[in-house]
Amino acid sequence: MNTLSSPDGTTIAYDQMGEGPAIVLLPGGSVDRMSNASLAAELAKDFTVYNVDRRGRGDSTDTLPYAVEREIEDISAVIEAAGGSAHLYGSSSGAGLAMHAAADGAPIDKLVLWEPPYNLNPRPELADAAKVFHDLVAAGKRDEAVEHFMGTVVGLPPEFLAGARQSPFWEGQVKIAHTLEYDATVMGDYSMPVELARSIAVPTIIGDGSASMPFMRETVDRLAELIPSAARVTLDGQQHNVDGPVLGAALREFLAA
Amino acid sequence: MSTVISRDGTRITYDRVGSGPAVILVDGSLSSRSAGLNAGLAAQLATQFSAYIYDRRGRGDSGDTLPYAVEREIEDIDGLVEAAGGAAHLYGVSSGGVLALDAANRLGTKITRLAVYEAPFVVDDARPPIPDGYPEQMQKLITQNRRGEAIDLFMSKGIGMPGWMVFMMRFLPFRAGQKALAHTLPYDVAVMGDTQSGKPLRAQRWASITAPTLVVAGGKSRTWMRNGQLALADILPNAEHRVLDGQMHIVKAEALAPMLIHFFSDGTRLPTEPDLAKGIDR
Repeated sequence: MNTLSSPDGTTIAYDQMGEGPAIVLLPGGSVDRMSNASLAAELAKDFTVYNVDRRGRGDSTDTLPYAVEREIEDISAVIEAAGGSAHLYGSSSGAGLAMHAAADGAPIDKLVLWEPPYNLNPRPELADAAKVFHDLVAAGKRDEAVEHFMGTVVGLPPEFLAGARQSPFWEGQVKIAHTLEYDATVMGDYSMPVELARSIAVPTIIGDGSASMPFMRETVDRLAELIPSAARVTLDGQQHNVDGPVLGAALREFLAA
Repeated sequence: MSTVISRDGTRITYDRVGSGPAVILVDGSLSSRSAGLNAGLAAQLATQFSAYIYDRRGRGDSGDTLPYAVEREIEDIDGLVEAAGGAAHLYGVSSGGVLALDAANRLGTKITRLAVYEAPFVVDDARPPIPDGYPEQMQKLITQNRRGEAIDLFMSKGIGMPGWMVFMMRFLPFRAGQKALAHTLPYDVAVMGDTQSGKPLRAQRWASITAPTLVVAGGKSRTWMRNGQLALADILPNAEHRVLDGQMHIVKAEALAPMLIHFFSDGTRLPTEPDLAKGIDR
């Protein structure tokens, strides 16, 4: 594990592994860098991988108040440590964050997006998600914040949530609950970010799984049209929670091309 | 984050929070420093103790050396005890509690006090036992790198989660993190040994434990789980049994911490009293 200090003093932890061109990995909502561990291991065959704990997660520290700009500074600092430019990969809402970093002009060689969870159809129940998460965590109701994420954002039924509280993963989710607000802030109202997508100037690979939800596939179709220099790929049999080694093998091929 | 090198050369990564007598916290299945029950508990204990949470071998930032043996994990705990000054209290949750029992049995007086929360023993017919062939099935799935199926097997046959819930688990983002830990599922299967077969526990496995031991069950936990804790306290040489009102297997740190602080404090106050007295005399 390595660490660096972001401009606002926050410690950003990351694992560096492999040798080759640099690629920086960003996790999505409710997870830390362990969610990209198997992807990182596969990519390390061809790349120098920087598998990052976004602020507030894992071994990174946090500095309030949260702003997307601070996370873009974190990404730029990691890219700086990687030699000044790098590929940038983001998964789910981490892909949303990667889009913001690219639009902001971070020195990205190629941008790789896996299923940014935007929606063609409005989802009014998500419009105030960041505030809901913020208020629940501020009130000490972290369990309810996790339930709001799994129930309202992911869309799992109440019966599942009741059982989930008694599953081994629950406390890990509670521990990271304060970052749910951050991903909701990144995603805005979860509607299609037309201007953001159009402003991305770097070559982009955007991928989805053939077994993913229909809305997700339509979103990726639309983003691939909006982003000026986008190549759209589909991994057979994969869903939103993509298998790291499968995605890694595909990216080794796509990024070499 | 700090590291200690275990006897077989494996790097064990740990965090220490707080100051005071050392308490080492042991995770159960599919858990690590960043994903598990113990980080929150360590924060609670840190007011009075040096609380150590660590990545068990094969997890998070720790290394791994094959072949696996429970004895290696006991050596890992021994390494942490040495890093903590040569003696420590030990706490384990779920299958981590069983590992803590084995470690206390082996490490003798190095473990000053031992606490276990809900070691998942199946000692009677209050739930179906872990099926025959479960360890082999788990090992086969991991050997074939079928990590998702290994997790499904653990959730369904190990925990007893209904199939539709097991299916929905696949749609949550932490799935990848669980897959990254899945190869350690057979490790916890090895730790559990024959203790989930529906038969009484064998007292001789932990007959050498000298440390005063606290066995805790959740007041809202399933009957089979509560029966297992009663059975454990019954066979241990020096154990007391407590029920934590309102809690289930995934215990809340704020609920458990006061009980642990009380138990561990009693154990440490006595040896330090002469030192304190000397200080006052002077």
